[in-house]
Amino acid sequence: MDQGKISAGQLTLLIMSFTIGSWVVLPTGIQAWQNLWLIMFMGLGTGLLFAYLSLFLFRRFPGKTLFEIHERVYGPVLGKFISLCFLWFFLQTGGGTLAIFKTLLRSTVFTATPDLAILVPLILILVYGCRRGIEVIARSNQLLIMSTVGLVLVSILLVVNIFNPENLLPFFNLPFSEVIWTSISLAVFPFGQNVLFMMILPRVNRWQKVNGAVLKGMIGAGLVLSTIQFLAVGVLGKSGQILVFPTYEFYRMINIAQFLTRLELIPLLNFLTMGFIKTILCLYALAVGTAQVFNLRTYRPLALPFGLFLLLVAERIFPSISEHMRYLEEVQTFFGLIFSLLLPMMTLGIALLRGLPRRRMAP
Amino acid sequence: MFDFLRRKLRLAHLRKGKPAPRTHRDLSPDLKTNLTAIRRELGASPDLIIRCLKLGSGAEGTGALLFIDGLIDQQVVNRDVIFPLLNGVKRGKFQDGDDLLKYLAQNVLAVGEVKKEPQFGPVVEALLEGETILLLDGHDEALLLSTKGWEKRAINEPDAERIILGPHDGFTENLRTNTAMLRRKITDPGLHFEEMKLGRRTRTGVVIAYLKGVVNEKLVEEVRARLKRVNLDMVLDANYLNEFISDAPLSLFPTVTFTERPDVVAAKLLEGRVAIFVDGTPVVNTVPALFVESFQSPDDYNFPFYYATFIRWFRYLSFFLGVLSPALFVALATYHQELIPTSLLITINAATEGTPFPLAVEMVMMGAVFEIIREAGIRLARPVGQTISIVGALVIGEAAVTAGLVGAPTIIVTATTAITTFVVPDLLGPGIYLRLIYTILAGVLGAYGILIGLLFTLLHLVSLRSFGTPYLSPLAPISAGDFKDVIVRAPIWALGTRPRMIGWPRPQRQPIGFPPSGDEGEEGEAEDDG
Repeated sequence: MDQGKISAGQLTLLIMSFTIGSWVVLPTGIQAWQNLWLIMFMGLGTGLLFAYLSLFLFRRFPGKTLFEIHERVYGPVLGKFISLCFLWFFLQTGGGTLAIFKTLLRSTVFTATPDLAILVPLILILVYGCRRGIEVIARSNQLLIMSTVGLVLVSILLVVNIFNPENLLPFFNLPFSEVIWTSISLAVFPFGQNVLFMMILPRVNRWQKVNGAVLKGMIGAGLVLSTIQFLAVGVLGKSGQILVFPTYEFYRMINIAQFLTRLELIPLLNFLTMGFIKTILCLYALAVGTAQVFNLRTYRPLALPFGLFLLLVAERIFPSISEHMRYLEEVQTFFGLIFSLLLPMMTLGIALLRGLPRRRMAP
Repeated sequence: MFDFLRRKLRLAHLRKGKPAPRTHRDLSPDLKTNLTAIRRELGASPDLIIRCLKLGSGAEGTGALLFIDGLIDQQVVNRDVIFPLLNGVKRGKFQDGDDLLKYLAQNVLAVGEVKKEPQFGPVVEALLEGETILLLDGHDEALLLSTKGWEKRAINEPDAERIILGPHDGFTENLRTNTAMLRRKITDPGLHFEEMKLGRRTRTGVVIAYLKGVVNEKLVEEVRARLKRVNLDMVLDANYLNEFISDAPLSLFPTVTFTERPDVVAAKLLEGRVAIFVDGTPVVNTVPALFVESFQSPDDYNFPFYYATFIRWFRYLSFFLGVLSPALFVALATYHQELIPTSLLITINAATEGTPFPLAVEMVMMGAVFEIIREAGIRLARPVGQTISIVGALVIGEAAVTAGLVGAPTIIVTATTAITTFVVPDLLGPGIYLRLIYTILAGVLGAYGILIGLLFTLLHLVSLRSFGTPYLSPLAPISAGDFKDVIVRAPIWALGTRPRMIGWPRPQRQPIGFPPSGDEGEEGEAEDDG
């Protein structure tokens, strides 16, 4: 198994990247377009509730990954089965992220490039990074998230001349049910997918600090996403709603003195690095999780096959952007709820009922 | 892949086996036997001088002085060894029955270091290192007299690391001179040297230097352990060890730094690093090495901090330009033309209109031409070097464009690359490879290819370690306290702590904090614990 340790600060940044991950280019809840940047905070609040539920579970079993907790709570057979379900969830999350970026690149820059030419180099790097362990992932993420946050801050300055506050109006012209629904779907995606970190938390060197790290990470991610959304609405106005990749398209409009124009490639590549971190974490969780389910000594040989698996999922389950968007709209929320809320809640409930962990066993 | 190669290498290393141990015979009490044995060991080398002496009276007084001509200080041997030997015994208070050897060592010989050695092997080694051997008939021990002295180069400014302000002395090929130069910089009793001999046949002196009380003891132990593993038959330069002890021998990036400047070594020791001196070379290794170290120059600390910070930023910029500009140009002009301002795009297209090759091929070709010119410029004698630059500039640059072989923008980018590369000489080697790889990736996949390349480099860099310190620190893992000497060069009075990852046992180097002012009231508020 991976023996690497990460610090609470690194965990915070990992959570930020992971949450920003794919949502940043393909926002969900597009029906609430103009208010999405505000509803983001409601989603964040709900997402934090989910996260703290899982964290409560983690704090009862410190030093144990989600899969080890499953085996303790449900027993070996049922526990392994539930773990396998989670593996599918990780697979779908990672594959979905890959698919989003593949589609983004294909529909914007590389219109004539075959899918595999885009995906295969990326997969190879993912596998390389995954084999290097969580420490390497966390450290490279530190630089990548810094550049992303920097880019978001710079873009506030860049859009000053094309930002039209009237585009933000009208406020909350939505039925209440819509608001609730959108915030729940936001809580599930992007925030709810953080349940994946249950596989990574035991690698944090001081587990007492985990709660604060998660809180900071999710709030940070919420702020970044909300800022981008805010800028996109201010620049694009209502018309942004019909675009597939609004957060990326608004960089197209930047024009500073005819000199800084057409900057969309920079955010494109930058957001791609966030997707990279998200996918690599999925791959890591998949490999480590499988190794734990089958009691393997090391997860490293699993990285390559699972990388190819991700490729397959990206190609087969999300073949086109319209299907992907439909998936996000109709399936994702329910599918995600099972894993980010229901299953951890059930595990926690059963653990409480069975009185686990027993004092004697606690580390 | 790298792991696999490393494992293979390690196996190959193990298979080589250990060298046969030297024989440790004792010296014979018979002088003739000893001399014959030494002659047999060294062959008929004309530089081995054997000077027979008759000391005192009786059979006991026969002795021989052995030394290698050219390795000893002739004057010292004549004045302080031979002369007293010939006169001292007769004139002195030597009485029959005393141990002659002991008497000579204590009363007669006027050299600094005198050792007794009963074994044959060490005697020969000492002889070859420039010591003078005194053998006496009837004694099974030899006296080793330290009379080393040979021709040395004077202290010069190192050519490879020129600076504008600050000390201009550089190390020489002589180990003792080098350690002395370091002592002159750091007059602290904590400055410790540890010597060992490496290289089975060259038996080169290697010295580990560190500052006790500042350095992390574990680091010293690690350096010691790794040097002990060195199993080479020759060590002619610091790089021989460098490639042997570095953490990632197959990586492009250097995980051991080297310098020829005593002030740099002193500064690094004071940050908690360990230096490795090698006899016979002016190059000194220091570990652990960090990526950001390559961007620091002694001049940074000799100039005002705002200017130094500015220059340092340009060094970062130059490195990235040098590595990325060909790739970026290829990617933009081939795949992302919409990102280039229209007027510029027209110019570029007009210039590359009739050229026969794709842009990426042009770029790689011109890069190769540049590397050849550079190499030729280094190797050739200085007067001919001029020719090279004319041929390079006129024939290849101008003519290639006029003939329509390559576009003018390619030449401009290559020239930019050529200049910017030399701003950070430490990373020249990695730079060449990265540039080539990125250019090819950009030719295949455009900006996405560059991103892939950058991500790969990033993953590789963060996974590197140099003697336990993450290579990319303090950038990743972030330690914000060290940014003061990385992102900017803070004023000297603000550089209160050593790099956290290296010097953590004694992080504080001076009272932290305030800009100096006429008011002395603040002094002593923050205590130095070093």
